[in-house]
Amino acid sequence: MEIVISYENGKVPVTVFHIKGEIAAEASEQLEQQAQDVLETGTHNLVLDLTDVAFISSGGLRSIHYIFTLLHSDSPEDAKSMRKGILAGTYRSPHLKLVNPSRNVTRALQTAGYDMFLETYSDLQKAIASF
Amino acid sequence: MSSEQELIEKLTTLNRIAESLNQAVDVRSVLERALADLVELMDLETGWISLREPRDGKDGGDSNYTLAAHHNLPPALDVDNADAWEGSCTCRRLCDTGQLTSAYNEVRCSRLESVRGDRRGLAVHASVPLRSGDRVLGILNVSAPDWASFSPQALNLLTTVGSQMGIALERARLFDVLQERHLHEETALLHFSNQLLSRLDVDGLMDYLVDNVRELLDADACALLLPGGEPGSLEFRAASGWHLDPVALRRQIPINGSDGPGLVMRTLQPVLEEDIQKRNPTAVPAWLQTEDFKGQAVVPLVVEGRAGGILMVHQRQPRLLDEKDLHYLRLMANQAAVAIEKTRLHAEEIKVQAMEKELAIGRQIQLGLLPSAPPVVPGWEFATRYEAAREVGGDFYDFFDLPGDGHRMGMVIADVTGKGVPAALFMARSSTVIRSTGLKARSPSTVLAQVNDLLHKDRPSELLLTASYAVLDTRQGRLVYANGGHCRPLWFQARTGKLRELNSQGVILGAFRGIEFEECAIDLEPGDMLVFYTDGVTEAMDADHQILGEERLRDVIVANAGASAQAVLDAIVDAVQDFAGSIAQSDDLTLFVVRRSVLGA
Repeated sequence: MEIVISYENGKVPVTVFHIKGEIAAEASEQLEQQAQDVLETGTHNLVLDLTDVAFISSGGLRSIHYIFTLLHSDSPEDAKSMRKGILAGTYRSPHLKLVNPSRNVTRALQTAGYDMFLETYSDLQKAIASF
Repeated sequence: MSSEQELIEKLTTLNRIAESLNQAVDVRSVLERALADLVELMDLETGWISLREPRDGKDGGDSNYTLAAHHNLPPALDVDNADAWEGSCTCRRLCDTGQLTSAYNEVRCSRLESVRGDRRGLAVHASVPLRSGDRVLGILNVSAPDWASFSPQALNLLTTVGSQMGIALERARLFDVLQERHLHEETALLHFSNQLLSRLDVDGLMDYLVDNVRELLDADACALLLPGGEPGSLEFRAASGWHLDPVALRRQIPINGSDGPGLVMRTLQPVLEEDIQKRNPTAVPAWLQTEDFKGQAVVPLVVEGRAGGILMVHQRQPRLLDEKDLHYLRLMANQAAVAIEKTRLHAEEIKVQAMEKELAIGRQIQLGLLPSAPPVVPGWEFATRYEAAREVGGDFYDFFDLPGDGHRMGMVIADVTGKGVPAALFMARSSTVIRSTGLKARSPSTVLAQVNDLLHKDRPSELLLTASYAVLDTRQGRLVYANGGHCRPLWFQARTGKLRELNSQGVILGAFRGIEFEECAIDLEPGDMLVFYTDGVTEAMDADHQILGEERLRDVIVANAGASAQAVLDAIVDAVQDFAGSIAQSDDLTLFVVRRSVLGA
């Protein structure tokens, strides 16, 4: 797996991971590490461009959830509103967005219930503009 | 004897002295003979040579002297006469104070003067400093009763032989130093080999190597490079003596370069340069320029006949490594190559062992938790399968009778997002939590919500769990189910001949605290069948990294729709194995099939 990082400017600064390959096994750890690195240097908004990702393992899904938790504060208010939103189907992460997942990946994301808290865009520019 | 004959004889003697001094490995051993020859040539009777102990090359102060050679000493100066040779004397003091500067010096011998016994009339000696450059290494004395005994010709001979002896002594001293160094090198090499063979971490070994090579060869810098990093490049793995640490800078150099390293990698031959700064400036890479290196030597690390890397030493002065040094450098490079290879193999072996051990532990946990046999319920067929992957995953399934009317059964299939022992342990915990929660709560959605919160509270390694939980009423045929991010179970409805997914919304367990799960229900009729599976089935991969996918799974189920639960399960497993071929799967293959038997069948 390869990750190319770009820094874009929408209404706010957005970091984009252009991921290429399979998100499985060690690649999951690499993804988590990269995310940690950019967060430490000030990233608050992250787009995962999944255009070139053919496959995501359950470990890869775990990594995406992990990145989600990194990007969200642990304050009880946030957690409560998030929980309510997920139940009502109205919640979508304001800090992490996905772009153009393949059919397989979409399927894996839906199965794991990730569509209940992550928004998916078919177009990178729209994703960047959505923050 | 004619004077001509005499001259020839003298010259022959002189030549013999010169030769013996030049060729002797141990100069001291030939000094005696050379002295005897000299004394005879000078028409004298007695002479002796004192050598100064090396004092780090500095003159001044009292030095220690040893009597290194003597010829025909008078009884009063017998070597066994301790009084005669104890303490200093005029010529030694002159030497120590830097006054023994002339080619020869006339000295009234204080030793002869003070000593008792037969002196054979000797009173004076001509003293010749044995020099190497401006260092005085010793004193050559030839003795006579008076100054008249020294002919000018004899004194000429004396200075000639004296200078020859000086040169020979210096050569011997250098030789001794070299011998000593080589002795040191031999010892170091032995120590080094032992170290290399006992060290098992590659980085520590390489650091040790460069430090020692640098010290041993008296080099300013040493570095070891191995292929790695970018393809076609060598990366610095250990360095000693560099101003800018190339290892910390992650410096890499191309393998195909035309200078030292590249050449060595291709030819396996060492490349020595006395002064790389004398090259065309454009031919000196920046990383060498900045270090101000001049002398360079590069040798290959030869592993099984090919270059496995390079070892190089640098000098900030011009220096061409001599044969002996090169020999040592190559020897060390070879030792290092063997040791690194051995360490690498050992590390791989340990890794494999650790993996196998982890695998075994994980398997034990996993197998210990899986039901030993499928449930036996009249009117229902159950078939189960668990095929372990190369790595231990965290799949499990479970069946348990629920309290109440005795017709309700809890069924779960789950998958931990991760591998190895942590995943197996998390799986063990999860299965216990699901079972204990399932035995208390009635509805599947409540069970998953409670399990979710329990798992969320304590997730040491950020692991998550996908789980599908259902409660089957074996008398009514009603199935109530909920799903937490798991592959949707498939339902084959015999009446309609349709295969449907058990869709109920739910996020993977452990991700969010306090969330709810959708709960749905269906009624199973005779001939209806359920397939619960993990992603090891649908994500089985072939050699081209294509996954089996849900379509193929559905096709297999539909094609075997009328068959028994066991037959359907076998057909699915066969399909997965056919698809994957000999490719080792990274996920466990876990599934169970439940079928409501056809009445009267």
